[in-house]
Amino acid sequence: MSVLVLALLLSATPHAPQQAGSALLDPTREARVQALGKMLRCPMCQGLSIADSGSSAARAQMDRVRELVAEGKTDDEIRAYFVARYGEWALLEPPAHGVNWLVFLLPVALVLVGALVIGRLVRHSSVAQAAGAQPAPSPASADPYLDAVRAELKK
Amino acid sequence: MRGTLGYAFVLGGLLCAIFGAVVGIEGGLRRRPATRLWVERATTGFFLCMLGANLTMVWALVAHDFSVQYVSHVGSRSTPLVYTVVSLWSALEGSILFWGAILGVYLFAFARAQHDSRGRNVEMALGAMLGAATFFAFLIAGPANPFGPVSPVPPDGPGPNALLQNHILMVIHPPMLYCGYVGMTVPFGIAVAALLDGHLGEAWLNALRRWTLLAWTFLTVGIILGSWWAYAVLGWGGYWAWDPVENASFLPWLTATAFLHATMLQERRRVLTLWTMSLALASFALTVLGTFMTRSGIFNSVHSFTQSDIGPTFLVFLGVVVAVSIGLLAVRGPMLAPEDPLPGLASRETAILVNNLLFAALTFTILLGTVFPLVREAFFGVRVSVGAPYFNRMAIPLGIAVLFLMGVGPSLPWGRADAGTFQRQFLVPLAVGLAVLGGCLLAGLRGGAALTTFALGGFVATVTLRELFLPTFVRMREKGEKPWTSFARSAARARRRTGGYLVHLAVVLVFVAIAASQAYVQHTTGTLMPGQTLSLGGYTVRFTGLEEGADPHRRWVAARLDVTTPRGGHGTLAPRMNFYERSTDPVGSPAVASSAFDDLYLTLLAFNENGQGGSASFNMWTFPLVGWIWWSIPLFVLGALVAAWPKRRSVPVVSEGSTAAADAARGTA
Repeated sequence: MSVLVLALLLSATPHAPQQAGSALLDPTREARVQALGKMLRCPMCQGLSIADSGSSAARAQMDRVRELVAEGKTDDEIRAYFVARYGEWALLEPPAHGVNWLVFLLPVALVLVGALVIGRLVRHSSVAQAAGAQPAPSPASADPYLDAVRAELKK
Repeated sequence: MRGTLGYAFVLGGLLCAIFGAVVGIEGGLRRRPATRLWVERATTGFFLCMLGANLTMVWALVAHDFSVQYVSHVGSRSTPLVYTVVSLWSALEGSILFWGAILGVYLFAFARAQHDSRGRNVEMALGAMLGAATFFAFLIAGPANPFGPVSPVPPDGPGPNALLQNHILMVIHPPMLYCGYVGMTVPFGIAVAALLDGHLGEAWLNALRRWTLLAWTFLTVGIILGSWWAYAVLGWGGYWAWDPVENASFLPWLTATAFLHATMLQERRRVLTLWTMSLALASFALTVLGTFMTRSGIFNSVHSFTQSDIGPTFLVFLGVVVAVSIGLLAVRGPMLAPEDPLPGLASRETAILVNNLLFAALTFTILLGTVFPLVREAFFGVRVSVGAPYFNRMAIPLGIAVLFLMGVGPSLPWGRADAGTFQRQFLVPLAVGLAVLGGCLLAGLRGGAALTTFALGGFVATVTLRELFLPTFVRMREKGEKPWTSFARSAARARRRTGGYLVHLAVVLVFVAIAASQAYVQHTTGTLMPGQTLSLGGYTVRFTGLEEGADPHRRWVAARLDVTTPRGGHGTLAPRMNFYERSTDPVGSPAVASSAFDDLYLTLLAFNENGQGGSASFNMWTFPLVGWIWWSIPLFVLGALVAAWPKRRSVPVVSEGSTAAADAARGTA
């Protein structure tokens, strides 16, 4: 078992000697290739994208992306191509449907609820203070901290 | 022989931990300070036993005693001495043994520091910490025993994992992280004691903050060094992959950071005490979760050494920690919470609350993203990936909000802001931020996230520098002191304030460096014959030839390149591939030329020794400002040291309203 894990570990680094991959496309289309590569998972690495990994498998997939881009396929078609082959697992960001929505919505919900709680805390407190008719201490100057520094200097 | 000796130490440590935990918790519950002496003795015993066990293991490693199981797994006669010693933490069993030693040191230091304190439930705190120690001692004695015998004794071993003996950073990065992880045990113990007693006095709050700050500092350095190691060793050109284990180290850092800010609120007003204690407990629980994720092998990662059977034990311990924490918070929490009112919306207090919300949201998001694939597969049988694109999408807005708040919070007064606050505190920093933005646009830089970060960086740096140096200017003007004397004195009179702002400056550096290196990275790749060149971002490299060599533990092939930098400098770089005896695949070593502006990063992809002279393929990157991430470490450490250094006398420098609140709080405590 450990041998297998070690092999997986080390597969992130290239075998030598080997082919260096197909030639880059023109800058606009190559940028698309790289952007797509960043979204696709290298099948043998630990969560690296095929654009980041130097393994031979990842570079073969990058070449495949390059071919598909050169054939004029759209980004969605290329993603669908990889999902059809490797399953949703191939996408580094889960597609937004079904249960997957949870990973996007729960954090947003947390922030909203938290903001609501803070808002209520502050409002309640302000009302309570106003009811207590506490006279606000008027600051002697702009910065209370600097006032304290000055007061200390005078000692 | 060494195996038996080491195991005896482990058993001794286990007994001390069990005894101390039972006596401490029992004595703490019944409030019998007389038990303190015995708990302290048990702590010393645990410390000495763990030290003994670790020294025995190092001795066995250095002596190549392959009759000890762990040595037979990671030792090798051809490994250099430094990596032999370091292999103490290069695999599962050894790293848990090492964890035990650090835990011993922390507990011993805490017991010494609290030796003379009265009126605090130290026996309870130590009892809870020794409870955690019992778990780790049990792991070392049972499921992860490194001292087991080997028969027949092999003549040599395989040596440590090739990736882990490739770079000197491996010598310091793991101990730093462990010191950070293990350090969270102390705040956990204090929090448990405070909750059981039903009150958190000023002295306990102080101890809680200082020990958390210590662990936080180690964790910060450990995380940054870890990213540096990934950058310098793994050769994919990145420093942060949102790998589950990287996330695991980041989670307790986030909660500890939130906690350190929340304590400022605690000192001035009794608000959200329960929340603050939850953060201290969560930081510990998350270190346990992190270790579980790292060591149980449920994730495939650079860090999961091997499939092992310590997973269930860890899961049980994690369950106990979470159950105890929630139980204590639920049962004892209400006793801690005479809540003071909060001032208006525009106040430092509210800014700290929002800070805590943002850090909680970051923690939750990263935790969710990390465990979601496990949950999805376990309950729905579908394999999904949650990787860098998700984390970047979610974390970048939250990170930018944190950066913005770092400028807003320090500019708002404690209590209530008046009408003039905006003009007085915000106008100049905002102008600086806009000027930075304008400058960047004029320089032709584009990209929303990066430009926002730079503009906010200018805003926050201005606020921070003002807060750092205004007291100095006041002293210089009104007392006629020399600049340096004046700065030293105003810093010495407000250490935590000064330290905190130094750390804020370091954070701004890291933010700017990450934004620049992510947004303006350049990349190319090419296959070169000797004499051919490749150019990128003003750098030109000329391939001059292949070179072979051998170290005692590996062979390597390096490609030599002459480098011309954009500023006219010359140098040579030699990215290489290392071939370890017992590893079939090569491990690449990238070559990096660093400057204050950018890094040139080269990896050797492939080489071909046939033909005329042999060709080689390279990956070539330039990363603007990336080095600033690691160069921020001294500033982080300096800030933390300034803030945590024990003070001889305290000068209360707080505003009127908050002094009254603090007095009231002390009265109820």
